[in-house]
Amino acid sequence: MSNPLLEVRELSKSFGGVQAVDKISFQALPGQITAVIGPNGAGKTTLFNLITGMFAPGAGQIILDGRRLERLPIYKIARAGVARTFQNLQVFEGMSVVENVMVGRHRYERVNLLWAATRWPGVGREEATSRAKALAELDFVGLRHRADDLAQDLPYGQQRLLEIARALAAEPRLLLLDEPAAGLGPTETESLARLVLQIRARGVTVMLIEHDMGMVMNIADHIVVLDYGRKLSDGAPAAVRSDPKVIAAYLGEEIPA
Amino acid sequence: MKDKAPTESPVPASNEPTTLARSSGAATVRPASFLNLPPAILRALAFGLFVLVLPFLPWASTHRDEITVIGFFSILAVGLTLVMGYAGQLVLSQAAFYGVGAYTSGVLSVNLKWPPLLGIGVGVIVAALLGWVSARLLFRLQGTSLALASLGLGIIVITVIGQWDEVTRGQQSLTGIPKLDVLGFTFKDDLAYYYLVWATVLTVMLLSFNIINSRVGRAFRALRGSEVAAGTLGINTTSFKVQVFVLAAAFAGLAGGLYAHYRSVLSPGTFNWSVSVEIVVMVAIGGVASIWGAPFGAAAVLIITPILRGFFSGTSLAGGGLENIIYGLALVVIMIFLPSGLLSGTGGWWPRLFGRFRPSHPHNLPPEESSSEPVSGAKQVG
Repeated sequence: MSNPLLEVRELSKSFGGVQAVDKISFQALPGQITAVIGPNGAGKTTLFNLITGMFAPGAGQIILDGRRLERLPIYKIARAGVARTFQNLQVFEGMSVVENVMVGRHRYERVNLLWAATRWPGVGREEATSRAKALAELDFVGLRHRADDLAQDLPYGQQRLLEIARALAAEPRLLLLDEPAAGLGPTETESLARLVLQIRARGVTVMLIEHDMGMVMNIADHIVVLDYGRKLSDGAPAAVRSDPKVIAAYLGEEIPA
Repeated sequence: MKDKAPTESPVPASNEPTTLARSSGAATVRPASFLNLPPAILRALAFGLFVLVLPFLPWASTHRDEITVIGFFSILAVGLTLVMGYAGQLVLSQAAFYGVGAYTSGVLSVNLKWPPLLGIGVGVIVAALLGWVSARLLFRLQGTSLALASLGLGIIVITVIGQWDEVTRGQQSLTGIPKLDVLGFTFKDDLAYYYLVWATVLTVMLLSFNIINSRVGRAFRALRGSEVAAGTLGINTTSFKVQVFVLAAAFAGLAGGLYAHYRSVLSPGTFNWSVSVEIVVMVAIGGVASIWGAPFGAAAVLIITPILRGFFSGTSLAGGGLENIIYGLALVVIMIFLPSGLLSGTGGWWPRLFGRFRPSHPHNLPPEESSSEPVSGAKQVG
């Protein structure tokens, strides 16, 4: 078994007495898709917010390839190689689709305010490189034909893809997808699942919050089940599916194969 | 999602000359332009030409002073456009930095006999430094709190200028500020100063365009779009907020320095809080996130205000009370629209006002997790 890319140890966070995340520990192995599932309010998004530094954890450790992340500011966690998408879309309005993705290249670009203002030689070259990379990511998610449209003019499903392209442009080692299939129809969900598998094939480690159990069971290598902020179960899809605790939590709901 | 693979595109664009017919494809086909120059350059050339001939056009030839003043405010409005329209931070202290630039240069040239050009340079630096200090203080705040705190900051600065009699001569006005001279050429007459100011406006606009279409500009605009998303892509949000604020303060300081050596007289009232509101109104009229809009917004406000005053001539409002009422009212409107209205969208408030309102997100999604997460704070983002 290889070393985990992400290791979460005894992670806790409470908000005004509510234990949103309660001593959660798990590992995400490199090159795998780790799904985080659980009923509404289980703390899944809070977990993602903790990993990406949007909240400081109350206790516990978050370790990315041996490096502690839990006290770093958001942008340094991003520079360590963590990128994410958002359940409530956070595309940059007023910017074109390709510009949105170019923001993902920020940490590879060097131009500062004075260079930019005076169009120092080299600015144009960096712009061209970033643009080419961004267009390649748009190609990858199938949005290249909308590159010059305003981001907010895209339909909902395409905005989800835009967020994925933007996150991929940052060349993350770990990509967190927060309910990427929410609001998508069955065919869209299917092609999204294929896209996630392609992302894994690029060597990116993926963590995925998803309610669509069919999709989770199909593509996840590893599943972490949360309930009321605690970890209920953790393992391969087949093992998790037959775990009595998981079945109880879902109140006998049938978990599709 | 359906045409995921680029090859599945329904229309083979290559042998289809009229791609304009595809509604969204219009952006990809540029109309042939004069001498094949990009539209941005054409617009700049046209604007430059307009500025060049304007002083000799009928109305303008007798209103050169007003048009020069529009130039000062254009510089101020371009700076605020960057802060407000692009980086999404509403600040109401532009007039204070304008005043700091003006008084620094005025005081140095009157009291210490420094050459005006050096004074203007120092004024820019002092305004930028003050901008840096206040950005560090203020940018913990957001939205309404930031607007109010910056308004307070402006009032403090202008009060200090108004009371510091030994240096600024306070309410008595600082007089005898020398005309600007550069390498032996003195900008004495109105026309020379007009060209100087408008060349500066164009330069400031050019710098701003360069910034907006760069890594730095994208970081600014990402801040406005979504601060958390910007952070998760590696943008040091605090640093870029400070940068845009310092930049706008430096522009304001430059406008102030130029103003000091144009008017030769400075009084604190010129830099009152209401002037900060006035600049916000200019930016809003110009279309919040539009550098081109800034000079037009400045012109609109400065041309309309005297006309309005004319309506009330003979009444007790004509003495300047009218402006205070208008800008007080504008402040109220700004605050009402603040959370989403004024700063969202690219077209400013024109589309909203005239009914092309369009919700920015399809919020009618399946509720999924969002409704029942027990932690309200956890749901603000992501």
